[in-house]
Amino acid sequence: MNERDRERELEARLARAPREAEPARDLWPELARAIGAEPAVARESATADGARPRGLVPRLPLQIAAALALFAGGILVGQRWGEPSRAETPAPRPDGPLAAATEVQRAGSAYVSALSRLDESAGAMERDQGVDAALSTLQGAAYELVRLRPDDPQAGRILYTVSEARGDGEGPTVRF
Amino acid sequence: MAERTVRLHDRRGEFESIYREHHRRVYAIALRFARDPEGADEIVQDAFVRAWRSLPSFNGNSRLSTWLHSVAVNAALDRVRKRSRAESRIDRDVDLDRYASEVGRAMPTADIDLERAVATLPDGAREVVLLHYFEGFPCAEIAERLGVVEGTVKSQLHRARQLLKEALA
Repeated sequence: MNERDRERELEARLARAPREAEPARDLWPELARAIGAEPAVARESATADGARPRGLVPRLPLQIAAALALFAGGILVGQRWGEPSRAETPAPRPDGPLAAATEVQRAGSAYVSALSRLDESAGAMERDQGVDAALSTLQGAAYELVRLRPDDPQAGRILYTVSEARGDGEGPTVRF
Repeated sequence: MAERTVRLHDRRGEFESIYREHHRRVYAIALRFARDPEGADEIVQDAFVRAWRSLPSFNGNSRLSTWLHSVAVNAALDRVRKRSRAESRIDRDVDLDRYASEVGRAMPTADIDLERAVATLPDGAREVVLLHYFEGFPCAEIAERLGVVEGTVKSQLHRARQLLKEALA
């Protein structure tokens, strides 16, 4: 066998090598834990007819904690600007290089303040309606975040989390 | 403006299906790079965690299998680099018999002599052989991934072929 034949034989052996291998054990349970995919509380507690259960507030902190981080900065701004609900007229749009960020923070502050007042609401129905509105707003904000930063996995995860909390079956499609 | 669509795969069930469909391919990559079953398990886990995190921003321009393959190779290369740094201090050897045994179990049709010969190549030559012959990357892309010039990849491949021919003669 000459050098060329040996080369051909080697390449043929390499080409025949299998491209799939079976792990010795099922790695999915560990992986599921690693990605934080615990059993879906929302689905387990769903009503028999598939309707979303009432009383979303108790599971809200777990499901949208990541998304609320979007507005964490707004709390600090809110402390500076006071209670947004008192403002009968919208605050003037700030100028300067940080104008956009300031505007986002101001809106976030108003959102967080309104959300914090939900606990003080009189009835469960009113609270649930407020939470639904809060999730809808969060989803809109997360949607815009993904549109602004389509390659940022964190932005995608925030949108995923909020969509999950809202019970969107297929998940949103973000168009650019 | 060009329209780009980002489909968010937002169900654990969907992701488990993706895992079930592709984990064997990923495990084969992982096992050859790690050369031990525990290391391979770690690479598989790392690869799918990376995929899970990045899936929302997967833009669908490539096939999911192609994208996952690339994620898995990156996870494997990162582990090899970390191990290389650790081994320079610890000088840990690979247990080739154990590796060959795992290859035989996990890939019953594998050419064990060939797999052993590849596993004993020097690190640089082994990486390019795995990336080129087993994973199908062209030399230019391997060079980019490894941060070397294309000529280095080609010379590593040439060297690797020589060593493999000698080992299998």
